[in-house]
Amino acid sequence: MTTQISNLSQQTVREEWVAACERLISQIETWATELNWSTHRADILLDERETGPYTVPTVRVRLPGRAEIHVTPIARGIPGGNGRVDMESWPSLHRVRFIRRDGDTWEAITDSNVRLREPWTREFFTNLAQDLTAI
Amino acid sequence: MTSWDAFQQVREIRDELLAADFALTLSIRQVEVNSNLLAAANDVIGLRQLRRCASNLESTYLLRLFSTFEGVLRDYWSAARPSPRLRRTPMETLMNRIVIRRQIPNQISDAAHKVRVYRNWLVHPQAAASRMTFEECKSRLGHFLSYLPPRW
Repeated sequence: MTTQISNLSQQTVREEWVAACERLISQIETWATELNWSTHRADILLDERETGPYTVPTVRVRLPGRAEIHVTPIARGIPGGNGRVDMESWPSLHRVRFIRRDGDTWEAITDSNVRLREPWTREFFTNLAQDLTAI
Repeated sequence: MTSWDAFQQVREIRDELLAADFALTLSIRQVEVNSNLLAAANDVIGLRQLRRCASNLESTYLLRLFSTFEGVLRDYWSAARPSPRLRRTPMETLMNRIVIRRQIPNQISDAAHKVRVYRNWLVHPQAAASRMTFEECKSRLGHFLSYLPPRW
């Protein structure tokens, strides 16, 4: 009985996390398309002790020129949040981490641990993508 | 090697720097509160050494970053232009040869050369060099690497 509940809970947590990633990636695809930036979606396999193996979507966004941003879910089980998705520029490899908070909100934090206190809007995404890919 | 492998090596150095910075910052904070924590270090390490280590951390990792960059370029060149002899081409020459072969724009190659000059200054501080952050160096070298083929 305990194992069944545990498995059920594991499945619920996993499905809810994958759905949150799907919403984030779809949102980015929509905004990128509106900006005439091309996108390429792929699936990756994650395997966590808390949830077991599962697949999540990732997206690469090509900005004007050669620069890209790669948006990649990292893990559901993280300290201090309900999941982490990285946004990394290529080829400069600058990175911002998105930490999922309660209420399905995302908080952006730079590699130097500065919190970017901006709501997750198209304008914020556009500025962030352009700033990350600036040389 | 693939281009992905090359960038993954850069990512690993970036993340090691973050881990080292985190560990040092935490250690310094704890030692400031409780200097007994240093007892295990037999008085060899003090706050001064920890702070010096922290202030030199970016430079230390920049040397590793450039070393990785150099390793990738030498690996690429040995595949692109195989030679039966062991090559010891100076880095400046090697970068210029790759610039020509891969048609790397001047702006990108100049930016990477400035990192090379800065790296040399860190090792042998003689001629003046512009100081750069690790992030700037990583970006400049990453742009240079992005002109290598996907696989070699």
